[in-house]
Amino acid sequence: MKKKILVIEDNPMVVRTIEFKLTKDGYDVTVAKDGREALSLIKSTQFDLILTDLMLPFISGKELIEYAKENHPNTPIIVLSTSTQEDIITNAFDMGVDDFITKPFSPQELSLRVKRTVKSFHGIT
Amino acid sequence: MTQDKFITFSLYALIIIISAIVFLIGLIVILRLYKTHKNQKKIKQIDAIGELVNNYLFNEELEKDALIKEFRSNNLKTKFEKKITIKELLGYYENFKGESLSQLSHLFRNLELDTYIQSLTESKKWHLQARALYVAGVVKLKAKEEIIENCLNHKRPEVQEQSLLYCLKTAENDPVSFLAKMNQPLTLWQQAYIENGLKLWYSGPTPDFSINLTHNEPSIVSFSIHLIAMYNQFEHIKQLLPFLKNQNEKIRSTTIAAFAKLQYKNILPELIRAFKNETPAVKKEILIFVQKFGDSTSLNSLKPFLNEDLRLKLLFANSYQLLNPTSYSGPHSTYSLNTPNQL
Repeated sequence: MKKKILVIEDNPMVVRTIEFKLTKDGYDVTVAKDGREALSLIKSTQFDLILTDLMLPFISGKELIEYAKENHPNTPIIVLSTSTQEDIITNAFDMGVDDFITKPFSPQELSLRVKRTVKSFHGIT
Repeated sequence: MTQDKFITFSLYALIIIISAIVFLIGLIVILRLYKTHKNQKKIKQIDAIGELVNNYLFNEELEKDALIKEFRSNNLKTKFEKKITIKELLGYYENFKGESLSQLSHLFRNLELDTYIQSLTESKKWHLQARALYVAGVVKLKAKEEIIENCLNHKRPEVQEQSLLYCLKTAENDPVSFLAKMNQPLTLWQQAYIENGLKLWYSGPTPDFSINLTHNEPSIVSFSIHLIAMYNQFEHIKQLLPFLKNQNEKIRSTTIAAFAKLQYKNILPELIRAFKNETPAVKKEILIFVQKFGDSTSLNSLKPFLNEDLRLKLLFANSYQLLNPTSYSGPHSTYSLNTPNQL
């Protein structure tokens, strides 16, 4: 069965690329364009990995991470953000984020990190 | 008879007003339809580019040459399509790095957008030229040297700015050599762009900022001195010494500030000697220099030449306190800020 990945990102260009690449890699990709849509998806569906931006409309990435870590502790989270500030990255890891990718990003590298994270949490990819 | 004329006039007026209203409504409807049609075309084009980029970068099963050929024949016929394609590709440029970025560059060239941009850099319309230079800078396209030289001295600041940024973004070494081609004063904004651009985009060997010290334009000389100090290029100290006696006030003050930054104390006696004949802006830099590297004796020797400039007096009082930390600066002290006449 395909692993389910939730991609939370408001930049259509980035969303399209990630969706294309991860679908090509064999994942079942769901996209949420804002924090509110993402929250309702997290509540209704069990995902195998969440890939999220930090700056999102309506509900911030930080709030989503807190919610997901509290209610779905076994779902790994990867942050994809433009922020390169050390304190923001440290805060994200303190909240339990499993990986942090900065934009501009390499889609190939993102694909590898997703593969590695899914494998370490769920055994197979 | 008069009433008949009035009725005829009213009728004509009414017809004209109704025609104008119908024309206006028609025009609004046509413009709206045109805009909707253009937006639909834009969305369709953005979709096509997204599909092309993703297939080109990540789909190994598809033939890349065929993809490009198909896109070129179906989606790159009009100026509008080219404009949208370039705008979207720049978006991908901003978000990607690594192997994907270099593949994007190949895609840009394979779509022959490089020749299109190069032709636009030669356009006589300034806005097209400025935009083309921006794209050429991001995609790192080679533009003709004479075009860049003309753009650096263009009458429109937008073209000047973009050509300057182009030079910084595409430089592999000597990122400020383009300043030699400029024959207009460098504005403060341009200086800020260059300083920032050097940090953001330039990754080559440390540039030699002394190459423009012989430039005819004083603002470029003064900016080069500033850069020498910013990048701690101590090897150019000897070349900077003559600028202490330059005719241009800005060059003299920048040179003193540069020596302060480079911590070159040897010029202190020369500065103290020159103080009395200097302008207020240069005096200010000398006071700052003495504050950093002098003592209270050298500072006191400047006191008679402060004239009635309140800013200099304040700086002097501040320097005096720093050099004599035990001195009291209350209302009855020798160098109180409240009693400038005592200075």
